[in-house]
Amino acid sequence: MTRWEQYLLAFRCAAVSGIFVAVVGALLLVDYTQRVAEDPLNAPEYFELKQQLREDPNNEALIAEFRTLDERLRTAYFEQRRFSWWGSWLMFAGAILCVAMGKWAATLHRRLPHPEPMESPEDLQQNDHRTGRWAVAGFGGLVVLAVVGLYGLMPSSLPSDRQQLAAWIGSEAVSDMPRGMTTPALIDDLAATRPALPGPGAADGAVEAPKLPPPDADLPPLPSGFPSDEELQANWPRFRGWDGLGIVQDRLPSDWQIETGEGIRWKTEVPLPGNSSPILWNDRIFLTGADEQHREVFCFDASTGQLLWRQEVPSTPESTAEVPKLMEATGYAAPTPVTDGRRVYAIFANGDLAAFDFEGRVRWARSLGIPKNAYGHASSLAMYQDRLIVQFDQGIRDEELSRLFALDAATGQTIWEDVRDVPNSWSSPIVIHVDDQPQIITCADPWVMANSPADGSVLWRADNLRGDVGPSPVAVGHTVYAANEFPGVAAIRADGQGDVSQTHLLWEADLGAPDTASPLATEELVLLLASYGILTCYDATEGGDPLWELDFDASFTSSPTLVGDQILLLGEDGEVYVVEATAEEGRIVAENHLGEPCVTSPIVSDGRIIVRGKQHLICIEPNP
Amino acid sequence: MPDSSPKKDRRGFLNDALRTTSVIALAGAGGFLAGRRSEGEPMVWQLDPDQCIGCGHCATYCVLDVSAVKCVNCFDMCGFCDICTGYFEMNYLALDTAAENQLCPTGAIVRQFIEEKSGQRFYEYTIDVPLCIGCGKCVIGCALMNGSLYLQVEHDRCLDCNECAIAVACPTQAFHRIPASQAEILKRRAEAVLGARGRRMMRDAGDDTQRYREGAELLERALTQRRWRQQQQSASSASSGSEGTARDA
Amino acid sequence: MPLMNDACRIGIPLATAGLMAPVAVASDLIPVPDFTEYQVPVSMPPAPDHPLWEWLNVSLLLAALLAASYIALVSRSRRNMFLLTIGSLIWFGFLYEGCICAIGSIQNVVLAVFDTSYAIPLTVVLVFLLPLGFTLFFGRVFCAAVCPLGAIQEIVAVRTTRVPSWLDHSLGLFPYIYLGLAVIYAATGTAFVICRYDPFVPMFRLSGDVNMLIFGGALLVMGVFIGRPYCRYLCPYGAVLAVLSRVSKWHTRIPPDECIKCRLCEDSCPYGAIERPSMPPARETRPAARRSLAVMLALAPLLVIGAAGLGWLMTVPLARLDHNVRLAERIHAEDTGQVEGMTDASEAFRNTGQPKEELLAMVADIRSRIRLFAVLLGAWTGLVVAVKLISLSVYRRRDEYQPDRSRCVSCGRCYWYCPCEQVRLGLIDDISELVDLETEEAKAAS
Repeated sequence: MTRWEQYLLAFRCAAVSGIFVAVVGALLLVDYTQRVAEDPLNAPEYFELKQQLREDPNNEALIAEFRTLDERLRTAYFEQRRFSWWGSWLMFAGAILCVAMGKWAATLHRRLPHPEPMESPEDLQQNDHRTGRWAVAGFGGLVVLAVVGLYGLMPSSLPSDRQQLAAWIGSEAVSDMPRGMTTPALIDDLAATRPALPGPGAADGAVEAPKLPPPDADLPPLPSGFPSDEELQANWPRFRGWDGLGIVQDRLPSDWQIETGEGIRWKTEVPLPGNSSPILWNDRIFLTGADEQHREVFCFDASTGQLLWRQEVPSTPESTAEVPKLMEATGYAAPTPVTDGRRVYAIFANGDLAAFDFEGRVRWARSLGIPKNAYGHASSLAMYQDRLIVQFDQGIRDEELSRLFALDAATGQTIWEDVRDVPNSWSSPIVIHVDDQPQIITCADPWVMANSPADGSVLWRADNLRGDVGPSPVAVGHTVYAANEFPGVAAIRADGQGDVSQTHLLWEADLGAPDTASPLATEELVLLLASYGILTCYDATEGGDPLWELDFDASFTSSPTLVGDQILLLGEDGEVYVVEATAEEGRIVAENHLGEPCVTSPIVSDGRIIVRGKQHLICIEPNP
Repeated sequence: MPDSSPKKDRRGFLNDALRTTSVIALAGAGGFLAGRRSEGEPMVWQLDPDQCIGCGHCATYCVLDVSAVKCVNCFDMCGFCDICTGYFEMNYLALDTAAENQLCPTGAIVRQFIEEKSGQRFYEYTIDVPLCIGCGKCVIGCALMNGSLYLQVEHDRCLDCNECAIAVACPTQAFHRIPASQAEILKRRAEAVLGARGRRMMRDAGDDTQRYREGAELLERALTQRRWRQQQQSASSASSGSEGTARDA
Repeated sequence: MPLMNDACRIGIPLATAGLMAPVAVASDLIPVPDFTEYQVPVSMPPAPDHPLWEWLNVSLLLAALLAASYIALVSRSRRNMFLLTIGSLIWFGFLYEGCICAIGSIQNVVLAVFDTSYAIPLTVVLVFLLPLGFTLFFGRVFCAAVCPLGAIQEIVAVRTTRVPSWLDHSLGLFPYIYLGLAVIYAATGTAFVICRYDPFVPMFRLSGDVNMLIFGGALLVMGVFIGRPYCRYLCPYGAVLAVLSRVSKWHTRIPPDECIKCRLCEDSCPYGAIERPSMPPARETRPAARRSLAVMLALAPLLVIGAAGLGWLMTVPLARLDHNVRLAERIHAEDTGQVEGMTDASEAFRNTGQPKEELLAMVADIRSRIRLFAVLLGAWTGLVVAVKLISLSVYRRRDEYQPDRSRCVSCGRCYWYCPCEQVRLGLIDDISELVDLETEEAKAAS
């Protein structure tokens, strides 16, 4: 075979295989368009026949016809798949042959260089660059045209930024909103379009923060001692009420409307974000807020909502050396403060701890060090008499970094500390009395633990929790209820000693276990509020299967509060539910909403609800 | 050419300088990114079944001819019903495998009798994975009852496209990049029941270390899901938070 | 169950709404039966590929880069380069099936820089950096025989013609704009456009989006006559490599040693990357050339600012690639009666009960975020055009035939055409068998 013949052969092979590839490609494309147009799995005649069959279910002939059709369609589906599989491989093989032959042909018949007479090197470059510049200019022109064309052809009727959005929502007809939502309240940050708030409103600009007292200033002495139980019961000194169990003998306000301000006593903007809940002492409400740089305690007037003072927590260089790593959802001010009617105590995500008097003067401050906490420190403070109880769990179990502190409320000095064999946790301590013996109950992975407030010694502990422990314990009589998403809820008799895991466990259950909200327990019932919106009720003495479950179209982070015989639940998007629970059933008796997201637990006192939403502290009280 | 050599030297020097700068920049970028990487591991695509609406895009948009998205049955959520709404057509004529009764267009669900108890017949429904095309018909059917059938990307089939074509098309943006070792996204309910089962197994294991380990693995699987969801939540709130601060500024 | 026949029509939308809610109604669930014998199985997800595969791929990438550098700079064997090209096409293309590739990795890197929650695997960082590093030292050897997208085009380039230089100058700017576009979309986490519009990956997988398959097929057919159309006029990674290659320490040369200016290689490059000898303008035209350079320099800032303004206009069209923006527009169009019916997305959104205003607020946020990037993209485009215009106003002196370092992909096709190379290979004994230098010079003189 001569070179020329070889070339011809190669060229013809390339041409033939090229045509083959083109034909197969076209066939595949036709098949594809057909497949898109009439997918056998969505064939109209199939559904038609099915409809007929539905109307005439006992027609044997119809059934037979349907089965044949079904078989045909299913076969067609698999055949199509086989077709495209073979097709693509044939095309692939053809393409390889075509390219190989083409390559061979090109090599056999390589075009040899035949230089033409050369222009002068100067002109060459100059001409090239001149035409190049014009071409680039033309390209730029095309880009401009494309941009203008796209801009002109793709207008949008939607607002482009938040100012426009605000104006737009104002101008759009309300009928445009399909679910009859009232527009202005929906977007929480469009404050400009909102009706003026009742009450004094946000007035933080007018408040002068008291100057930090010089260290040697003579501060007026505070009353010594600690409040009586009666005093505590009249107030809301800590997370979830006077004893932290979320139960109060009071009444709930009935009717209010956040949009119109009806039944809203006042509503004040909180200057800094935080997930901590408000606390109340007589006519003062205390609250904390923080961001990466600032950690502050706020004091509000309970009757007007006015911000009386705000005071920054003095930090040590160590505590501000770095910003603690935490989850945005937890924030820098998650723990709720505590008060003894003399001072208010607050702790923040970086381990800064401070005590203020009621006038906003720092009484003492210290740092516990930046905790190693995966989500951010969130355990609220507790008090026993004149001792401040701090659950400070951090790190992993083996590191032995976790502590339970009892501090002198007057000076902040450590009275005792207990090294805890637990990793970081987010649960808050409570103090209960069993046979007149005080116990501090704390929850962490894996222990439910009772410490003596006197010396910190461990009275008993039970291996009942796993994972990231968020809910706080509650107790009724001698029974402690500890719950977490894993493994569930456990009822433990609190009169044991040492490891009571095997001996004092009354019952366990796992359905409806909460991951954040703390349980609510009465003599008869134990209620668990799972974050995904299910309230599960158990018999307090027996456990066993749930008595009932109640579903909400809401997510929950806030813990439930029992007010009289009604349970107040606050949803993450600001939903408010009032539930009445008996052993037989749970019933939603009222629904309302706060108009802003809420992850904190409320104060209920004297027929008022005082709650912190995402932006505001809101006091709900029917007009007197 | 006497005048060209200093010029060339100058060019050469400039080139050297630029190259050195580029090398340093590349090394710096590599170091920076490697530092980032230490927080994670290879990522794969997965869909969140809680966000899934069973639209059928998984079957049609996957770059594979037969989608890498398949149905799975979380047996701990399954009612083992005789009349399975994920298996049977709504208007079935009889509880058999006849064409007019089956919901699955490719017959990929295998129905297996388990036992009869107090007048109720229980069946197990498993997925014949090679036949499943990920159309989600059974998912919609099962959602009427327990919702134990749901879609997942099967990673032994998935090509790990840098940008998943189904993720682009997904009407609820249910696809996420997840760490390769996690491999799945469980329904929240499935996470709860599997965690509870793991805990139960650990509790009941006694001396059976094998069983204890299986239970611990199950619990860990559920906990992994929980952590992931928490991270998602905080990432989304962080992004809205940063927008907030941007607005304030 | 006749009742369910009617219920299913209502039931399905309701059920899909239920799927959107965090969890189904717990109390309605049918419990798992208490079986006597049967153990309720646990379904396990199949595990992803072992990470070692990724590392194998990275080490093969490194090996291929080393081999390509050696072939381009030392052994100068077009045959070996071609074999390596085929090998890369088979492994990185057809067997490995495309992802992740160096071109697409740009986006992963950008996303990792802007989104702290995205953890980029070390292998991806290496896939991104290795070719860049090699280019800084050896030229674009990655494009020559390692990149599967380059390889598939290299193989089909059998009958190439020269693209007019002016067209090459202008179309050659497009990759930079595409790069900018890919970066802003990756930075905002909107999309990975390079991967979405990758014309060859569907071929490697023998299945994929039909439009992209057709586009890829068209590019390949075009590639028979116009060498490497994707690499030259689209590839954003090639744009980065072109810049780095300019300062590469070593670069492949056409002749093995001295150029004899025989002009035989002049048309041998299928990619138009061979630069002829050139002279700066003659003395009398120099002032004009300087003026033109001054004009271009003065024009540059204006171009950048003007283009930034145009970028600002692009905010709305650019934001439209975002899912939520499209959804909001759809919802709005439905509400105002511009379109009939609902899409899957709008129906799903309505079923969540999320207020439309929240979506609109999200759109507003997305647009304001994209606005900044759109202005930057505009400025970048202006800068690219300005730099090109300036470089077209600068004249260089070149004394020999040499590859343009930014355009040359070191494929080695030109070696064979050089008579010095033929002597080196022993194909001919002396260059005079091919070239008559005397006559050439005489011709030039006349």
